[in-house]
Amino acid sequence: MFAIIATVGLYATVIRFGMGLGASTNLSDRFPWGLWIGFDDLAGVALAAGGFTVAAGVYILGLHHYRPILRATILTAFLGYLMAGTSLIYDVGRPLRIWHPIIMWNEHSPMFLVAVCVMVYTAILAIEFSPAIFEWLELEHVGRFIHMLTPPLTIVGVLVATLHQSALGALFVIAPGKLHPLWYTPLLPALFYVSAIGVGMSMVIVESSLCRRCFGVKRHDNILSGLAKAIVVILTAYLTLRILSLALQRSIGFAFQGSIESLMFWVEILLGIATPLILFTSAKIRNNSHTRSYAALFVIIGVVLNRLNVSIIGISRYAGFSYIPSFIEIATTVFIVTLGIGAFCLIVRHFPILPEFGVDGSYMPLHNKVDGQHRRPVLFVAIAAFAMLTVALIAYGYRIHPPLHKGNGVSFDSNRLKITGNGGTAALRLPADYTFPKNSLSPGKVVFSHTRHVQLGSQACTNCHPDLYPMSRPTKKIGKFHGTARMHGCAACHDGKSAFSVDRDCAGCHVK
Amino acid sequence: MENYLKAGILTDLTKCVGCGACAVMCKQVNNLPGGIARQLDAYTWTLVEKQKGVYIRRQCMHCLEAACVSVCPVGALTRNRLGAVIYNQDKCIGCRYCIMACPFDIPKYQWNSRSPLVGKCIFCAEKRLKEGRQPGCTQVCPTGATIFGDRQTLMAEARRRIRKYPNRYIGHIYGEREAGGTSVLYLSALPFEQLGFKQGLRQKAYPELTRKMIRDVPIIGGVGGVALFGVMWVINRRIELKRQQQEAEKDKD
Repeated sequence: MFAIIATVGLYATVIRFGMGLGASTNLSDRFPWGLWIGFDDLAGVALAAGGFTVAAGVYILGLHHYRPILRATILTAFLGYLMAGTSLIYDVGRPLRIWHPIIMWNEHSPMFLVAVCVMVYTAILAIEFSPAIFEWLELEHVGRFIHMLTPPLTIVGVLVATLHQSALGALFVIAPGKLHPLWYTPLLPALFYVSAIGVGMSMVIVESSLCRRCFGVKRHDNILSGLAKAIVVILTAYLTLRILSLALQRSIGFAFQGSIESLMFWVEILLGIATPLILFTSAKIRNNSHTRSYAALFVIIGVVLNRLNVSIIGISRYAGFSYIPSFIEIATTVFIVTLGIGAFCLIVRHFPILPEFGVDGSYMPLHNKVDGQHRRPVLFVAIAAFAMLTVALIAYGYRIHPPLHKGNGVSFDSNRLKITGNGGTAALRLPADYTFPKNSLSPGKVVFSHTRHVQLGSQACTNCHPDLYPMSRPTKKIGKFHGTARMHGCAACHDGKSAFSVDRDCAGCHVK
Repeated sequence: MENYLKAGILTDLTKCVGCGACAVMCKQVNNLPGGIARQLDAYTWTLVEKQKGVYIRRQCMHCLEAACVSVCPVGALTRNRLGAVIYNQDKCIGCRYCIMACPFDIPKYQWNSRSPLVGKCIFCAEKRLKEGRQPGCTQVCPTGATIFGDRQTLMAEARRRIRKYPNRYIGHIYGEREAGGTSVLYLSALPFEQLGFKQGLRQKAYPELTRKMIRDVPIIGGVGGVALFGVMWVINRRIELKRQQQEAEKDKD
């Protein structure tokens, strides 16, 4: 399973860096940000927020009973940020320059803030995680020294995390005309921040239950149900803020328009806020690890949906079309997420992360505890669902952007079109005849027929359209009347040598 | 070029005949490959299109306070002394935030390149403005539809034309206040919304929307840091005191 994902992922990597963004993604000038930014970065960073939340709880609020899950949470956050960073390497046009924000500053830019804070925070996470490695290396004294650094590091970490979670929301504040009013608000930074805290805690719950199933470790029911209670508070706060922001912008009406945006809005609110809120208010659901995990999953789905709505769905109407990620984009995302999950499992098995493997961080090898039984039902379901979604999206994308020709005996040989099959040019979906109107510069209308040029003239598309699709053939000026931009296109071939010259009687082309 | 001059371009749509010389000159001056596309793209930094019988020149508006300049994380897009919004391709990392942020949708990307850059009109800043010459496009315009000058002077000229020929122009100068004001201004006989000009834009600069937030960052950092440290100290102290209390009670017994 992993081998398939890895191979496809490596192939996608080759395509992305070998052929550029245009060939590997469905991004364009109208839709410059897509899956990699919307899901890998925005959702990924939000999902990794558990690190600073639990660390703040333990070290700042003194809730030491959360300590047993702290290391695993820090590891999740660390890997989460590494995954987001990796996806940035794919997304950014010139990844070799990704270090530029370190020395090239623009203090006015929210993205600069994100870049700097994410770099600092990833470093902090690495330091907070390192005691586990030092213990494994049996350099416990180094680990203990770093432990001493942890409280001030946690404070810096909380501040930096607050800044970049908010700054990610601030990214969209500059574009009020582009983002749909159901999501645009100057309060976006606050909304992103609060939802990040909520989804961070939900990730802790889900990740704990996955660890339990994969590694057969003990449950932490009391602390996890405590987290669930906190999530209720956070979700309520978020809902209040969201309604407030909509009211302030006078955008509540958009929710009832019956548009695609209103549909996605309700899906996000009902699935991501209302459902988990109602579920978590029940103590029975909070205390049962099964139901607790599923309720937390709703929060995760909701936040992922929210980030996708803000970055993709909310921009679609302005862009004029619906962006659908390409196969390469989906493949790299699956690849990166799988690597992250795989790294987590590997590290947990060989490093002292989960306290059940020993008391207070002392390490005991895995094979003494678990019988090599690797039941990962939830993981398989998630990957299978993702794979099915990928296939469905590719099929959908293929259906609405069918290939230009069906290969029915049509081929291109250098710049000559060869038609050998029965379909002829019917296999090519040529545009209808186009009429250039009569106006102050043209004495009569001119009808241009794609069919005549392609069929009779055996012209390949790229003869006139070297850059699909505008007519962008370089200009050629022939005769004294054909110096305008329009005629340049014709004169490029109709110069008397490749085809009849336009510099003959005008009535031949300009019809009254 | 005098230092107090703020570069501007006034494009009078009633005078444009659609010859496209500005577009051809732009290609020449900036060594841009390919032909003139139907829409602005990474290699076509200005062009003339036709809508409702009117020829319209499209180019970067060179906003007085540009959104693209404020959002670029590495400062690759800047506004030079003369007011032109220029691009330093050595800094650009390709995050495409400028494309996202521009309210006029001007910056375009070289999607098909393996080392892509952003492409947009840079006012011939290095090649001509620096040497005291006007940009290529305004120089070759045969009818004077698009002219170069100091923005204030051009604004006065635009107002003069509207005043003198009220039947020829609609009483609006596009770019006067759109997005807080732009260096590139337009006059037209038809309403701008019929000619594909962006409508509904803020009448104040877009970077204002995020400026306040960013300015509060050091305050959040400082106050937040002190507050968190205070909270941590107080709570840890309480835990410590409680522990001492419990030990004292144990000793008593």
